[in-house]
Amino acid sequence: MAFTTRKSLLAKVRSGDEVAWAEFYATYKPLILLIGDDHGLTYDEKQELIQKVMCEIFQKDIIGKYDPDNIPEDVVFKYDPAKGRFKHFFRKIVRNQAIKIYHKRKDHLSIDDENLPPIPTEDQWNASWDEEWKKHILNMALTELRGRVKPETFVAFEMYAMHRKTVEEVAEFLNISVSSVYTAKSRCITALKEIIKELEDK
Amino acid sequence: MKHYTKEELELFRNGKMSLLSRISCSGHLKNCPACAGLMEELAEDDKFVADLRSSVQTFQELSETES
Repeated sequence: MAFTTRKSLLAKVRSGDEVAWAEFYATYKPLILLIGDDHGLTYDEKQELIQKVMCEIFQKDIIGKYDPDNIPEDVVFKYDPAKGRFKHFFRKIVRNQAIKIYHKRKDHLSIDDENLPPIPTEDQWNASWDEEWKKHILNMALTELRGRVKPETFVAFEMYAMHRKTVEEVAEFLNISVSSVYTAKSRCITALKEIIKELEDK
Repeated sequence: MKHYTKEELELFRNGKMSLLSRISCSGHLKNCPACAGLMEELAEDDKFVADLRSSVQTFQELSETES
């Protein structure tokens, strides 16, 4: 993801700064798709879920007006921190919209259709939400890490830990020692854990 | 007692130490709770990195394929 903001997206949301559709959409779309999967939604229903969630958050009806991938830059929203933690606000919107789509589908099915998978119970939903949110936070933390460590440290970590290059390949590519690659890995993991704590604490 | 650094323990656990150094490190780990603790931390780090890699891959695939 190529957003180079001085303040992370979640920090902007939490402090009530303006957040642009494009940045929010690119960051949260995969999370919404995962939740759609957890609710057994079809491809089209998941696309509808993304649009419904985005419309509710931005309080703008964009369906049929714009291509969701190319929304004008001036379409922004400000989160009111008085509403509580954004995580809970977002969770409620996605769950409610997924249930609405599920019931809409149910209304159009014949009474003989017994193939419809049941919507997750509240307990199942809570467990899957925690898992998907954890993935989302890990993903955001890696994006944030790039701005927190030296470029060489980040590249060493990315090549060794994320792309699974051998430690010798990374050391040779960056012209550093094998030990320095391990140092980079250790520094990045420490920084990532700090970032995750910040993202979860706020 | 001389303790090992995380980097040295990475060399040990990844089989990149010389034979003599490995024997020495292995003996040290049996008697040093601090260094044994560092080895456990490194194993936890591996699990953390595996989760990170899996999450990032999932999100990248969703970003690229389901648009």
